[in-house]
Amino acid sequence: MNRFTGSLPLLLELAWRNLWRNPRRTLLTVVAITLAVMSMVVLGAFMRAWSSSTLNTTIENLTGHIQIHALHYMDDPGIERSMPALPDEGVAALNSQPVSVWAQRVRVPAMLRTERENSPVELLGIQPDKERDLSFIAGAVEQGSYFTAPDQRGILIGRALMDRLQTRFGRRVVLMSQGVDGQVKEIGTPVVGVFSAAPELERSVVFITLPRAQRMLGLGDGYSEIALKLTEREQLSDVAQSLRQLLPGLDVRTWYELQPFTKAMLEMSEGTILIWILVSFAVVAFGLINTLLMAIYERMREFGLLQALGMRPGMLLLQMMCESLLLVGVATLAGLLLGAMIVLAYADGLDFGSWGSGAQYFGAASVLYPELSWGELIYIGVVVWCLGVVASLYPAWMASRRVPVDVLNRAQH
Amino acid sequence: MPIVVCEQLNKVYQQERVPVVALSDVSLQVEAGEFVSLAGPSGCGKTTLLNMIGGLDQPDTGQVIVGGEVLGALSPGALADLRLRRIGFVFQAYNLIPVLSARENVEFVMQLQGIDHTDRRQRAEEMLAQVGLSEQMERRPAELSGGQQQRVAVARAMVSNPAIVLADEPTANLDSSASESLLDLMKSLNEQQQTTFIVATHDPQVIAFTDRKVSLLDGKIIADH
Repeated sequence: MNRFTGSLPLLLELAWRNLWRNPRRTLLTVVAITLAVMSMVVLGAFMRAWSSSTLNTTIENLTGHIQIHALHYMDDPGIERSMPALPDEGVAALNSQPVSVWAQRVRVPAMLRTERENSPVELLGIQPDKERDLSFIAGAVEQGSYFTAPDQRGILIGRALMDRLQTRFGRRVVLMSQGVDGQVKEIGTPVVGVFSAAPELERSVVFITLPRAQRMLGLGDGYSEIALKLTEREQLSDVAQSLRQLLPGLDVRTWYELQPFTKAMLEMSEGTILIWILVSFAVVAFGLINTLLMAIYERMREFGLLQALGMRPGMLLLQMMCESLLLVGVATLAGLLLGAMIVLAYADGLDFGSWGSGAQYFGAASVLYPELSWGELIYIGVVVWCLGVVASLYPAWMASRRVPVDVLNRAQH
Repeated sequence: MPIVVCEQLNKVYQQERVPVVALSDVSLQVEAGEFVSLAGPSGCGKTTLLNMIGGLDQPDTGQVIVGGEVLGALSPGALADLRLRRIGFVFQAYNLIPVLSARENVEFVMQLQGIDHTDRRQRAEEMLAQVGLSEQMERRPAELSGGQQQRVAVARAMVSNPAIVLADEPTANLDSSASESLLDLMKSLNEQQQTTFIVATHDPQVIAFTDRKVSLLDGKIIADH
């Protein structure tokens, strides 16, 4: 072992010089590995940004991290499956969790009518102060303003719905829904705010304050759902499990149970990253094996000479591995650096412009904010480098197993 | 005690499915400090015999003993060690390492032996000076003439004071003046350091230069005087 470690500087120097015997081939291999590593870094950062954006949008678009309903509400979300006033134990249970905000909502199907048109909508009665930190609505009002008082009069509607109903900001609309007693209830109320959001939300969701919704529907202190946001996303399963135990008889669901499509999309994006990384790794591995094998066949005489001079087969194997380690090392560092520079260049956001409106249908924002993950950089660097070692084993073994006389004699003809 | 003993060596190569006898019942003993030529026409088996003495090739039957060690009993690693410690090679095609300078080529074997940097550099420079290459020691093989490359190869073979130097057609690519200069060098090293030289050649100039002449024909020793 001492002999190997003592010869390491010699092997590294020989390996480095050998790499530059054919600069064009070495550079081409370096470029290929650099591009593969760079694509892993950039794609990984953008896919993570997209996943993060999609998840944030899902959480903000009224889903929250967790929702609590009466049993069977999700099968038929009507007024009949409302919950009574939240008892003190329920409040205590919610406050005992690592929750940044939680709010009660009335959420029932309704009809919105103007003098010209009408449209089915989903009516949300919200607690304005809490909802401000829970969902998108407070920041999405483009015309007029968000509710400033807990029991403020008026309705917030989406721009798409406003256009469809041929009404305007400030005009009066009629909101109709079934009350607790089974009778149709209606209120006339002015449009106090127009919001812009994901197309589906703009077309189908309207907001009034929770007390007004409760009075309109005769719910008393009743409500349809509790939505909450966690302080740490990673605690989702623990909190959901805990709430199920603390609030028996209620239906506690996480965002991924409420939005299985989003969950599937995020899993698919992770799968895409994995496939891309595997493909890139394969390109790196085969490129490297090809380069090393070509180098070996060109240098058979030299390997014979080295063994004739007294280099042990194991040391020859080590020298070949040094060559691939240096080659992959330089290319990997270049790829990581280039990838990191590209990601940092777009750290302030990459606007996908017209493509962005399409992305909204899938729950992502049109501007993505890629972030550099040091852990991922180290992971890619280490894996590609280790792959270099593995990929070089076969060519190195080929080089070290040759009988010296074969190649020395061949060189002499 | 002889430094090289070859006993009843036989070797048959398959050349395009045709068996070719390279060595047939060859026995040879070489004493330490001898300067021996293995002479004969191309294909007579002299290179094969040289390769077997150097542990680069194995006989089909018979055995080679170098410095008391039976080569057939050694592992590839042990054979490499034997070559590193006791044998120097000079090849017809020079076989220098192209990415190393003349000095680095001469230092290479000493690096493998683990000799420290200062010592090996000093010894390499002295040896290159001895072969008349003081001015060219930082040049790479491609920047040297054939004669200069062969002198570097001799310097590399001699620098670690091996017991035996095996040279295969060392003058084949040299003109007569360069050949004479190389032979003088080898002879002086042989006399000064008592190094055993075994030279495979068909060059009459080289054969005439050696103390002992072993002639081969069709894989057999036909004369030894």
